[in-house]
Amino acid sequence: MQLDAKTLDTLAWLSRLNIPEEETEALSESIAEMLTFFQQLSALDTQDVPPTAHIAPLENVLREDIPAETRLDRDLLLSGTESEDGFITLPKVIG
Amino acid sequence: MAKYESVIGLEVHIELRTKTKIFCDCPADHGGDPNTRCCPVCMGMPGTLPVLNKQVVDFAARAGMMLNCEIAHFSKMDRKNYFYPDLPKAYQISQLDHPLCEHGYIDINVNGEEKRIGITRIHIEEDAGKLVHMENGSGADCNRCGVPLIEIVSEPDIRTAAQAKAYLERLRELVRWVGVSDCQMEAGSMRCDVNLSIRPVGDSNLYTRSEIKNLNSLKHICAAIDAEKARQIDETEAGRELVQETRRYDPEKDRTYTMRVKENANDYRYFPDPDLVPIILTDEDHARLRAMIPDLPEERLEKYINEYKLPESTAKTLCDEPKLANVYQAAAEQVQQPKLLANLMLADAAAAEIPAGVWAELTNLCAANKINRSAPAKLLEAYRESGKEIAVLVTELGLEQVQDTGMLNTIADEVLAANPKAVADYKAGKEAAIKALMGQVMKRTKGTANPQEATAVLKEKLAKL
Repeated sequence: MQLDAKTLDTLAWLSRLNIPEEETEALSESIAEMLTFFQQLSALDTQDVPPTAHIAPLENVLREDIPAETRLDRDLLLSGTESEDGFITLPKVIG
Repeated sequence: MAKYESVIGLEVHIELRTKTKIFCDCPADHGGDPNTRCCPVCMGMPGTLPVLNKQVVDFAARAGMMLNCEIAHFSKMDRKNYFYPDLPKAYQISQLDHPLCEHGYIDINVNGEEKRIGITRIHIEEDAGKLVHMENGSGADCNRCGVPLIEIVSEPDIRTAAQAKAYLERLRELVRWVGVSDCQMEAGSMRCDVNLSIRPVGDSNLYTRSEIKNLNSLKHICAAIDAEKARQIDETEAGRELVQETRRYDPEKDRTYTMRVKENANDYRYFPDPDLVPIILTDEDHARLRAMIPDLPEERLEKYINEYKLPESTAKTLCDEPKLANVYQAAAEQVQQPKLLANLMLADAAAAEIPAGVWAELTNLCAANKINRSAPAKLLEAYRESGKEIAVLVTELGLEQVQDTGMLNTIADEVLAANPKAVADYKAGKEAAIKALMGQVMKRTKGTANPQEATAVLKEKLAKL
């Protein structure tokens, strides 16, 4: 299976990755290899197999609409990120 | 004669009024300091597990039923992947191919013309957070992350701004009526995106459309529709090709601007969310929810006027507030005098907060003359304070109306003996003097005498004097 340059660009954009020019060829080959591997699945006839929604035989795992009695402290919640005045700080977002 | 017509479909997001968020037990209501109503689940921290709120499924299905949709027996949650800083997980949990509700409709009437607007689907999903502009960048507040939404997608059946307005007004009325959201556009609990394309009148094809986002009032929606239609006509007439894109409307300049060229639907790379299992709604679930769907507001209004004989203004006041109407309806089914019930309820400023059973009991006590008409206000006050049963409060407060004619006779005799001037005035032809005597009777019975009966007893005695 082949992976053209345009598809690689799209994948890179969707993953928000900058792929250096010199790595594109090797990366294309690696991804093509993975696709070929997964392509083995196409050999199976799934004509009469219903789509799988979940691998576990479970349904309706639901909770009641009851608020938590205690809350995590904001300082703890934000301890893994930069913050200011209780907001998570980010680079400037336009729009 | 217009050469082009607009083809409009609306996507409406409505926040469901649950107590907690869709996948965690954080509070779902507005407000709070930034990042004080969120937790590792709704902030999308690694290793957390979302669990679906049962009430979200119930509310969404009830909205669907109110909007004439078919409700799924099998439904599931999917991940919609995209990067935006107000979405910490970098995917939104939504529904792709098995939405909870499909194939509904809303009937509208514009200038006497009836029109049915199809509803393609209603699905449940989580809201994103909010961004604020700060001095050196932007700030993210996750309080709104995970607030439950329903997205209601219409068919491209709408042709004019007036039809869009009628559709949205009716949608708002019905969703409020079924009691699952307050649908306040100005507060952001109802938001609308417009999809619009144009075509020559008579053509039935669909052409390249634009999506106008972030419209927060009916006025802006209508103005944006007119402005975007005009723009697309200008572009087409000038021989320029339209592109599929997202636009925003600037009310100051009354025109739309490009926000971004739309990514292909495929780019969201939807897939079934492995953290969440399928939602199965059995026939029993459908029946249970169906039983909670009220009559249409106009049907109820007609019933109140024609069957319950309420004055039109009273009926309208009751039907104007869905919560009040629902309490009234439930209480009305337990009383013989729905008009008396309506009067009692409308005399109370927060009638919708009192259970229907309490209203029914008060009405029935009044109707049977067991308490007098001033007693309900006292009982409601005591009920709000103590939450005790009405029957208990009637006894505790000594509000049983004096039915005992013997006792009333004794009190009347005492009052007549103690008020010779009023008696003389009455005998001299001043009929109003009886009011002073009545007042004394009511005072001595602590307001529990039946006024009609007491008046009759007094008149009888005065006649014999």
